[in-house]
Amino acid sequence: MSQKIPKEETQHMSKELDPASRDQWYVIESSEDLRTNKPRRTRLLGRPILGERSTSGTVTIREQSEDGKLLRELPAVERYGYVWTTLGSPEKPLFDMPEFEEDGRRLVICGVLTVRTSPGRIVENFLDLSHFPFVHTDILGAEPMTEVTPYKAKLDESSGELWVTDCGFYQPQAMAASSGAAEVDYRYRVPQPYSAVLYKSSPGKADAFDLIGIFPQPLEETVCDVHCFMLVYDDVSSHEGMLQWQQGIFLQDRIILENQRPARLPLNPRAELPSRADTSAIQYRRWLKNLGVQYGVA
Amino acid sequence: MSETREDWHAVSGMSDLAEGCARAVTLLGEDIAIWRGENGSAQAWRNQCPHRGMRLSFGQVRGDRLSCRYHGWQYDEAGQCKFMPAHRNMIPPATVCVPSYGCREANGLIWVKLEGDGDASFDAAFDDVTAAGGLETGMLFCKTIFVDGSHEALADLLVAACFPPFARASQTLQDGGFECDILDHGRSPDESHVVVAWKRHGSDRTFSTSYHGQRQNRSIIRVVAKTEDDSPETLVIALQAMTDKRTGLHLVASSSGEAESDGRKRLYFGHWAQRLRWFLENPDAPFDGFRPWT
Repeated sequence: MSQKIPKEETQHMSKELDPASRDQWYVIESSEDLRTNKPRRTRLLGRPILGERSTSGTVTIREQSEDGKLLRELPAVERYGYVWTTLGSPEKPLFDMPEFEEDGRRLVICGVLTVRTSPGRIVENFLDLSHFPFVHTDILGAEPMTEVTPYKAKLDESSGELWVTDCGFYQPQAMAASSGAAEVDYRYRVPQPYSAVLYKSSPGKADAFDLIGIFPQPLEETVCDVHCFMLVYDDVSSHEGMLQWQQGIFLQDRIILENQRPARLPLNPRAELPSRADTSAIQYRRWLKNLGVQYGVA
Repeated sequence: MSETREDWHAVSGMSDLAEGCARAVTLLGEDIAIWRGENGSAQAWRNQCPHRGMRLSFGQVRGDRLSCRYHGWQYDEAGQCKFMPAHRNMIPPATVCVPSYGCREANGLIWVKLEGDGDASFDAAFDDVTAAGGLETGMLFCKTIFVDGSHEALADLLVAACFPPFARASQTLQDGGFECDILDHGRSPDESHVVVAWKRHGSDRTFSTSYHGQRQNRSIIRVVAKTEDDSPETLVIALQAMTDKRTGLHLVASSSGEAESDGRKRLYFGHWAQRLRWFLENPDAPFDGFRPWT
């Protein structure tokens, strides 16, 4: 996908990246879409990137100069249906998602949506419960059932991941396979600042959770390609039906995301006024600040 | 542009902001939400919800409140948050408040100032103008156009302009259109105004119209056109300095007080404004009158 990047957004390219942004793992393409003889020319954190698959199937990812010269080779990992790389040296390997080993789940790669905002705004919106009745009206929420009951958001010291737990919300159409309204249990996992996965009650299997994940690929500080997947117990929905459901929701979020000011996520606690329902956002911003994230934040 | 932040600027026609509507306008580079409650007057706010920065111009008007599109936080006309749907039984703290700008409605237009106290200065600002006959009650809002160019450069062009003829605005359409040829134009011998000789297509009769353009203040230009023995026609162009490169022009004309005649006048200036835009964006192009637009 070719991207038109406004001039002012490319001016920071030579800026030194902060380690917390540089040393994360980022998706640059789905495995199914990175085919032999179909290279992916894209950007990551303001740098031009070229991803290629050889005839033997091996993936090579290289950083390029602005005028297209090939620079260093970058790490390439294929996992969870995606091609991952990093511009730095992450302390940890790509995070584990054991749910991918579970029998009976269906992986749906939901495609890429370009969103003109920072990755932090995208992740924070993904963790947000109280917008459901207003942005995803009659799908993920409906007035007057707007109350957000207390939940927990906590940085897990041992794993270095942010977890948001004990969330519940009344949803008219919680998943593509839902047959009616239900009180849905949620929890969220943020394994690194710019990747997030949610677990919500599965309509397809009792006491099990479906997964929905987003992997924003920051092209620039305020432009992202957002890769999205679902890993669900669902034998009834068609592939197209699930894509349609997910993309419909995502497009509703994009209207919001592209109209928040500033586009960069403000980390100063006084810049915006949260309520108790924003516990996840408060913890998320605090975490990014403590990690020293500079890219895409204000 | 900082010195103009304390001036009043037109940002919209009053009738272009209906009851129950919200939208965004740009003034001096600032993103502003204007909205009108179901029975209320126009409000002008910083276009940013204090909660998560969502542009409030995307919000929904509910009664006399504006509800943010993102989380449904409701603000009253003073900008005070009155309801947070995620906490239905909580009274929002007084600190949750949207910064607002001075906003008044007069002469068919909505006026905003970014800094300084609101109401007293509005009357003061327009005293001079009204005394000079520039803005009167009963002005008819006709049209808004957006033009490439700075507010200052356009103001100079407008005052010096050899205007496209707009005399007899209330009659020309009735007479079968207003396409006309410019036969001659130039400044009067004393340089005080512009004189245009013109004739309508399909007619041999020529007319002479004099245009007296005057800058009333930084953002208001008043033009009086006088065609021979007709009564003078007044047009006020209020400039909205959006950015250094873009300007809104709000056209209000003297109202006849009669609905059908005013309707014709609004239609006439609507078309005329499009030609004015071409003229302002191509000031060096030869000015050879207007082509028929049928």
